[in-house]
Amino acid sequence: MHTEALKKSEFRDPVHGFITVYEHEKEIIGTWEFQRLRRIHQLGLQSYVYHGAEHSRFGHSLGVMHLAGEAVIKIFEKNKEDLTRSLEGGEDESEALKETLYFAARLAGLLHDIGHAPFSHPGEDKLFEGKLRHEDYAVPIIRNSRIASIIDGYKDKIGVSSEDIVNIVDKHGVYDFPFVKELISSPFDVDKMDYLLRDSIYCGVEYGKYDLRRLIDTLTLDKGTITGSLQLAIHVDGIHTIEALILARYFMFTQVYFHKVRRSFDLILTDFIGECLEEKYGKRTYLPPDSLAEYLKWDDNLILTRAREKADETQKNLAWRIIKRKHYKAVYETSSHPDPLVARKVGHLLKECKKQFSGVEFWLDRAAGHPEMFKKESLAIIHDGGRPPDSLAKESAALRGLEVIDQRRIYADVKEDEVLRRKIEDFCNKFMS
Amino acid sequence: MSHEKETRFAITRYLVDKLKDVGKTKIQKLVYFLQYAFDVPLDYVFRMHYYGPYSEELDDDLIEMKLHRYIDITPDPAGCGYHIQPGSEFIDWVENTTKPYAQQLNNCFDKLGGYNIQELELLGTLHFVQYLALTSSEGKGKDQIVDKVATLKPVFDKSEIERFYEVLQDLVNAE
Repeated sequence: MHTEALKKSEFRDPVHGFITVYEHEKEIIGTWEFQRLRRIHQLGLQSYVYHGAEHSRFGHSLGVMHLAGEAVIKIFEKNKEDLTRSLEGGEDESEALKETLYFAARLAGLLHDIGHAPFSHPGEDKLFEGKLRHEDYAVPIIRNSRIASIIDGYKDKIGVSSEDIVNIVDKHGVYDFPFVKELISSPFDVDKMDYLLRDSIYCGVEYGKYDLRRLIDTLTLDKGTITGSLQLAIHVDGIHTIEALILARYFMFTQVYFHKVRRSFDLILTDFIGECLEEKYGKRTYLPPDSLAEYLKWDDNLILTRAREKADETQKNLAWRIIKRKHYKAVYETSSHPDPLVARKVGHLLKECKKQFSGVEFWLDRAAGHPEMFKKESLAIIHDGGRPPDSLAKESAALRGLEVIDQRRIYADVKEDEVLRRKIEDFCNKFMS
Repeated sequence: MSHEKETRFAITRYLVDKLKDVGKTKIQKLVYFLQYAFDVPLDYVFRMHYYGPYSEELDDDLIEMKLHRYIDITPDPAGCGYHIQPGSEFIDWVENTTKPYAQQLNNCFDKLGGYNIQELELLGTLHFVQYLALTSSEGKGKDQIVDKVATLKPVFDKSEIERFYEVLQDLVNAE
């Protein structure tokens, strides 16, 4: 067994305890491209709200790697017959396939976030050209760095090539075992399983906690009565843990990711990073993936250093706001599930605010479209015996009551003028009442 | 609302108005083909998912259209997916916005309207593997594409996949 032949290290992790790291993974972790993730905050400037939220994409990537491997083993053991049906080589070949899937899932988990931009998500839709997103940088990084040659150098031992990892990580990739792709990126992936717990622990909140061990234990595959391909599913015994995961995601979104001060700093950061990019390249977007070396120079340290250099108290500029923690003020916000008429009226309110307070800058922020936005998704629920699968949407009364979050907020740059702020708030409340 | 979003909403509402009651999977497949085979500029990003090509952005747009009441999305009582129906809010710009694409929309319904959801899924998967999936060292000839799809969709037998491969070539070459 190659898992026994490869050298191992143990990394201490605040979420998962000890994380085993195999020698090829350690080599990848040691690359410059991966070490850069130490300098990308997982939650942007969330630490300005919850001061413990200083964790990085580095720790999260190790966590996802760890969970991906655990999940694959559990799923394989429960579905060995279906997964090895086409194999002819008996038990040895079956064990080899299990190892291949194990190492493939771990590597994909380790590398899934390698293309992240500074501060992770702020400005994801504004700071990249066209339709590009951070995920589009992962494949070029893997292919054009030492990472591909490390993986390919171990191919005989781990049964995985760099192109296998590319096919799992890339949205246009096709992998022969689609459930591994789903484990890395789907509504119930190990990415979410890790970050909900990690973010909860580092923020010092309880909202993101759920029974991870039980959830991993109950993961399985559905034979896909329509497609026949083996898809990620959950055993009926795990239905309440999935409910807990979804609720965790819901509450983490409303209380942490969409916190009004956090979102205010997302707006400020996006604008400031845009300014820095424009100074350097003449446009407010990162260079595309064919300029990888330039892209990889950008990390949180670079942005914060620029902010420190440029902060100007008299101008109360963006850099000053970042350094001094001076955010835009939320002058109006709806509930998490506003009536559609109310939601539409907020758009009119924004226009009226701009007319009424013409010297003030305003922004409208919406929960819909946010990367961590809560959405209702479904999953197949597998029963023992011959009973056909059910769907989570049908089985879970708790989740039927949850609706998509569509909260909207209007922010204003009142330049720390509290009198002006109260005036604007009164105006907004009168307009909306 | 941006022009891109208006176009997307108008096309989707057009499809829903035409089909009256349609599931999410069918909408995903029709939009995929409208974009890639009939050149309607919707600019969605698709990836391979349970039932073939899937766009998360399109799913988000469906949610947003539901919030605006442009469409209604209700879960199937038997737990088999969703029903998307026209919503209570009338969109007066659907007709003007879809006019430039009238021919493509008609062609799409002509060429694909007769296929059931599994067949659309198979066609979509074939198209995705042939045109969008990352190139592999094994190449992209007919045999390689059919083999790949057979691995991804074992419920279909190879002769059926080969038949739909030819259907796809006719569809793509005709447009």
